[in-house]
Amino acid sequence: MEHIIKHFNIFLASVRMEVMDRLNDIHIGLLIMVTIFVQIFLSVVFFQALYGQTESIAGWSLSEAYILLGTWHIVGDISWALFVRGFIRMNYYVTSGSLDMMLRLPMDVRSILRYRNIDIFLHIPPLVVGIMILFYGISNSSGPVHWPIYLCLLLCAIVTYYSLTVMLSSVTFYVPNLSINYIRNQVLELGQYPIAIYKGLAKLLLTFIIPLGFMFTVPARALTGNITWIEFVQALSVTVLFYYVSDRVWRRGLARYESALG
Amino acid sequence: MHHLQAYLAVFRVQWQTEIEWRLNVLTQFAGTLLGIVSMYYLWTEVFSGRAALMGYTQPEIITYFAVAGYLAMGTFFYLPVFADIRDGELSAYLVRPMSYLGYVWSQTMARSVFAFLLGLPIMAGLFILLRDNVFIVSNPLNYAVFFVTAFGALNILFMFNMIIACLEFKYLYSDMVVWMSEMVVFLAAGHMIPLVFLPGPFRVVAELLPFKYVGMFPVNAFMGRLNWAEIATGLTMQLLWVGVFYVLFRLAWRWGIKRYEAFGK
Repeated sequence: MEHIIKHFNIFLASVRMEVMDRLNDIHIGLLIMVTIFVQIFLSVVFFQALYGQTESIAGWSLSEAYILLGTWHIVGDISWALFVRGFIRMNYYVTSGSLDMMLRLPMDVRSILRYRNIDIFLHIPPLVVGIMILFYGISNSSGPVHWPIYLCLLLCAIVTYYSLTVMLSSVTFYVPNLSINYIRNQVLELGQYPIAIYKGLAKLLLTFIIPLGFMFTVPARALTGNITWIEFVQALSVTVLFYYVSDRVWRRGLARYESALG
Repeated sequence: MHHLQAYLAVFRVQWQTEIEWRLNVLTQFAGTLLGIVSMYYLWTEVFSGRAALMGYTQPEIITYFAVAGYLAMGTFFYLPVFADIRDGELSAYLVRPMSYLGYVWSQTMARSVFAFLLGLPIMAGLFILLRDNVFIVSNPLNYAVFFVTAFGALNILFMFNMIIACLEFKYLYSDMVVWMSEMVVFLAAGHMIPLVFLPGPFRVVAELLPFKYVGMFPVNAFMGRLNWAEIATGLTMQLLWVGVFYVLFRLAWRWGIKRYEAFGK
């Protein structure tokens, strides 16, 4: 209990500091926010253009695709708000030796990376837009909506997103100068389309190796009424498995760290 | 002649840097390939057996996205100008007997040539892998046309980003504007989707903007979808837009240099 309270207090302090920091350079914050809005707007235009040519894509109607798109944005925005920013700076922390200082603090480095780079202030407005896209999709969809299952799967998706981010950041311990942020973004971009469009090896890869299917498509299906209990259990299992693997990968990587400052 | 040698030296130094950082360029290509593969699957579903959509067959649309991805890798670059202005590094370049614009342009050219060359075998491999599902361009002239139009595209984007970079003289960290504008340019250029597929009003606006000359035009010219008159018109428009952006850049630069305080140095 004491552990949870400690983390909660640090979380609150981090949010306070982040808000003060953002208000200090408010024009940059507003620009980032507008950029995220533009990104959301363009993805909606893209889907409109696609569905201008066809009624459904891999069995997904436009409204169902909006549910998926909304889910994709919600998971992405919550993840960015809570932890992504710290991990994508790993290159800098490792090559500059800043990680040394973090290692001396009485807390797990991953927690420090999460709290120190929290980004809630900027990601709440786009999160609201993501939720609006989701509800727009639901209002035009006829399937039964399973909210408790959806929320549970959304939580799983965020944990898996975290595990993937940690795993990819661990690459920095092996190749410090390699920037994997672009490829990370490109991989996650694949999740905004229904997993059913992918065939053969690609489908297998995006279901079990990089579990985008379980992160985005399966939760969205909980709102379109097509989810099965087997998929639900699979999603939970994948979440636990990925969290465990990411923890092992991170620890192995950290053991290799030799400090840039010597 | 002396100046030309200086710019060639900048090109060579940047070339060396690119070789040193080749793994990063390769991972970027890997990311682009992922995008192309996803477009392949997505558009296979959109076509679902239909012969053509908006004048594109399925192999043509796959080729369109592959070439557009390759083109984007060789033309979209983040310029170091923002950081140079912000950190005061620009001062060091202003006192040198060479143009700062020419300096950054030489660097960008090196990055572009490196990306295009590195991507060539990757794209060839992709086309061999997807040979039954892509449109193969057999006319060697089209390949030459592609690189000429890609050069025009690179210059339009370069000048456009240089104009945006002048914002840094007034607002710190304005490189965020580049991120935003890149997304809009990506759509308006036809990199995200060919402009003919865009919903009505977006298509009208995109057709009016110069960005179709940095994406759709080089790709369509390469695929043989344009006749020689259209290619000549497109090249002229590219030249015109580079000229317009150059004039705007000179005005913005003059305004910025008056404000510049070499803060940080």
